Amino acid sequence: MRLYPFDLVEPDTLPAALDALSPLDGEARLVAGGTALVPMIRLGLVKPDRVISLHRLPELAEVRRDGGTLQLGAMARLADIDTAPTVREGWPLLAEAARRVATPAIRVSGTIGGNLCYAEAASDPAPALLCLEAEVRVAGAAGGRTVPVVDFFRGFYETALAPGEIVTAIRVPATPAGARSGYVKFTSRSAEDRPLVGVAALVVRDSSGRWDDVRIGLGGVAPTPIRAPRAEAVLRGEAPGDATLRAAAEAAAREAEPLSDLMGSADYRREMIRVWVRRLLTSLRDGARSA
Amino acid sequence: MPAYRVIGTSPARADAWEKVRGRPIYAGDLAVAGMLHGRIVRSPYASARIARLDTRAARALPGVIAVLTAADVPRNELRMELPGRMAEATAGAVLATQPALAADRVRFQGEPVVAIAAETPEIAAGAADLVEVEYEELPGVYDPLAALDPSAPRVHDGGNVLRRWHLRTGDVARGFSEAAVVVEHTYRTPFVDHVYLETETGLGWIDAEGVLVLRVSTQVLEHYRDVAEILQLPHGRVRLEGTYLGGGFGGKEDVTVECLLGLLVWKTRRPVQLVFSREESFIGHGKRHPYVMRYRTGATRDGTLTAVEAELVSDSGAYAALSPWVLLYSLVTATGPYRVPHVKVDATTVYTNNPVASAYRCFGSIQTCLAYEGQMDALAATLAMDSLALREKNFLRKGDALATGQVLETEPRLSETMRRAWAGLGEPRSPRRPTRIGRAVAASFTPYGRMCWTRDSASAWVGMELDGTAVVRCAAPDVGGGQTSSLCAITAEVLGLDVAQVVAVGRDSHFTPRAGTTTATRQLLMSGNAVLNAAREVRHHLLAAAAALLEAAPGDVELADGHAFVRGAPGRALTMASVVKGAIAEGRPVQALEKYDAPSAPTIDPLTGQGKAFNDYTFGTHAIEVEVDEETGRTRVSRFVACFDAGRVINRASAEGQLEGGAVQGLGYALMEEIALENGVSKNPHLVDYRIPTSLDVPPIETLLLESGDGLGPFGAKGLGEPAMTPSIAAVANAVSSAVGARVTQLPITAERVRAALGSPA
Repeated sequence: MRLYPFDLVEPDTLPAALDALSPLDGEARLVAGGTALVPMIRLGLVKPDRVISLHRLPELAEVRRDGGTLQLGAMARLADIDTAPTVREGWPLLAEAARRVATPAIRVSGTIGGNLCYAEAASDPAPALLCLEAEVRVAGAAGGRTVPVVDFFRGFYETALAPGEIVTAIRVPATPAGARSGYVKFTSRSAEDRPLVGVAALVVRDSSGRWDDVRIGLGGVAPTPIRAPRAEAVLRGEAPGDATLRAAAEAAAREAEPLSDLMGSADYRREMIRVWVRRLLTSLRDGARSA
Repeated sequence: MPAYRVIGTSPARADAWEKVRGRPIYAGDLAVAGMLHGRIVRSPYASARIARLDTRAARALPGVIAVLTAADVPRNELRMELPGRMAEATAGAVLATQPALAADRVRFQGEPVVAIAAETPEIAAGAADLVEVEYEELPGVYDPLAALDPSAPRVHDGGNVLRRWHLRTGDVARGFSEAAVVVEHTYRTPFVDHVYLETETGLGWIDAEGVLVLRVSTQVLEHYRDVAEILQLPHGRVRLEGTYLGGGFGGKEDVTVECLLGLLVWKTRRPVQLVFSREESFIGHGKRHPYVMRYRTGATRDGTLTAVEAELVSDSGAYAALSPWVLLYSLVTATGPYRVPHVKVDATTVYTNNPVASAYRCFGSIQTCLAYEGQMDALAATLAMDSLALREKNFLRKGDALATGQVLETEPRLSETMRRAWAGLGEPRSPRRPTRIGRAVAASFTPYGRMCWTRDSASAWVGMELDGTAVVRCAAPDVGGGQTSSLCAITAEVLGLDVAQVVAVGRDSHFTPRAGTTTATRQLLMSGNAVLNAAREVRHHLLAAAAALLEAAPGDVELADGHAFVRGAPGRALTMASVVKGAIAEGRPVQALEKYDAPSAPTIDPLTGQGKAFNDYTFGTHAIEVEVDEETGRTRVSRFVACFDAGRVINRASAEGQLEGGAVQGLGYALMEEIALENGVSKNPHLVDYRIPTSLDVPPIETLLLESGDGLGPFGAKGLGEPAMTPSIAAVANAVSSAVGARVTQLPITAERVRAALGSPA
């Protein structure tokens, strides 16, 4: 495999990485696992003059419980997240979504930070992180800031990152006590394809069996991964009967803004949202999945 | 069945360990000192005039050695001709040619325009960016049916019809008047790619004798002639060295890198490596032809076929390549493995500005299988008849004639392959909503070996070494199907050796006896028989030498386990080394160069298709179970059984591997593969959006091999390479049709299409 030539920079510290990223003539790109950037360079979609590898910054690769929250370094590989007992026990929704990304070969290379930084509409972990209300920790020359994941995705392949900023970590609050959650990935072609529709959901029942906390994240159905607030509103405080679940799925289909591509048409995507939101919620109600 | 020691077993293939250990056995693995790197500039347009071409800036880039255009090609015309007497069969057809580098007009996206050689791949890529080409887009035609309209833009001066073939037997009007039911459907298939692991690759240099040597991943070592013609060199001045291939499937049957690489080496006088990227491979090499097939099939109330009328149109893309011959395979197989008294088939292949279509495993006989087997299930549904019983009623038997008039001289065993495949699916399962289950079969017949009138021939040399081991020399490219190891197994069987005591050295256009192409499922038939003949000749001499040494009659001597011994007296034995030395001492030959000539026949009648097109066929059935999610339309193949009459199994693991590979490649074609084109330009020239099946998409595949011993190959073997794939797409389409209760007639059978076929949600 051959790429267009570029300067490769391998900083040992975060400040050095930020320096390398600071304005210069031409385009600089960060590389973590390379599973997104390398194909883009090969296809000529980006032609960076400088590529800055973050692989010498081990502090960015941590997967660690900090009190009730989960601290993920931006360089944590999807396979690390999927297989870490801490994540599987405390954040099963995230582990499940990470496990559905592409193939094992991709998961041992691709990172959680890289996955988010492309605002890939068909990301598998993003809908899960939206449901878990995670926050993205960003470093810049002027200091750090924190952006909720829901605000991190701005548009088609566009994030809230300003030029010169680096995502350093993802902070995931505790999964609510008693929550049931799950992720379904529907591929229309081969099994390891990107999702035509990905649905993550997390629900918490109150003592009367009503759902008082409902969160739904969708991938592949809009220019970016999205929450489905209208669908959530249909369910919140309600007993999850079949008709209610159907109405929520319908609301999700309506609030999505699907595009047509080679995986399927916009109309078909909308219909698949209806099917998979309803199926996932039904399985959560019936106890097939739980936290 | 005779007792074999080697034939039918699964000795590890010579190349297997090399491959799994990642040893450098492929064309792209080798580098030589001082080698340059090639790069091809290709047209981004499907139909355009080259208004201006300026290579000065590219040539001025330091490290660039050559920037070649059409003006640099001594004879810029690649001819598509098959050996043999094709002229009478192609009367009226245009002579199919294609430039090595486009001169003033480009006819498809990806057509080579400029060839570059530079000191590094990066410099070559930089030079490619500096080549200035000004294109004036021209009207193009992108649909084969639209291309038939006389007012459509012309791809070539002679018009858009490349070739028509016709098949006529009986009186089709009478056949339909005798029919109680008639089913009519139109079937459509897309452009698909071979997606071999190894893209097109080669390394070339000029040797000490001034011979241009090309070490290339190719199915056809005879392309040295094409390179020589392009360069206007005597044919003997170009040599092709074959390597193990990382897959071919017909995609490396036409010229790929050969001429461009030869041109760069010859012009620079330096070694050059040329490797196509995956994206280049997608737009650069020939595809499988899309077909539109309108079928009418008539039958009596009891299910006896009375008539088939079919109109086949295939999209040849921008150049002819092998399209006329692919279409001929479609013609011959159009009515399937059935007795049909009244037949009318009109087949046309048409130029468009789409990618060039050419050879791909099954070579035109898979598209027709989708149609004729779809028709059989449609007919069974209309007649409310069991579809297996319907097939059985009409299957060809020994002594029956194909629609071409060719009489089958051996029993096809179609019923046995179908019943065994069907039984392999096991007990029916009851579906649970939203899953629907569909089961179906598709039976098939596929030629192995070339068309009879090509007078196909292969040569091979077998010789003994002083240590009692044997060497095979035969220029048969090994595409990954185990061709080389099978030649060793045949030799070992005949000479009483272990497979490990036989080595096949090299596959080379000039150093090893010519064996022809590894295409058309011909290598076991052709090279296998040539090796068998040579090994038998050597055996004859070894037996004579051993008989003299053992003081026995040659008829009483047996060769086994690396020894010669007197039958019934195992104590009277000699090592093979002693026999060889004894033979040499007596002046007996211990080597032989032999050939095998396939039976020949006159060309078929181009207006009626009557005659003997192929010497023999391989028959077999796929039985498939699918699970269809009725809410999503997603199909999962849950069971897959393949049953074929292999004639005789040479290497069991290789034969089973062919059946498995054919099944998987067919699943991709049936369910997910399609080159998405917009006005001739590919929207998915990469594996991100051209998906092929992965391990998660493939169910366990049960392979059942019958051994009738009726084939024309060694020990009665037939060919399996292409036949193994033929019924796959029809079986999937029929199984999905059965699950959804509507005919599925268009590939790929995507979830969205199936969802639409299912109608509104329940």
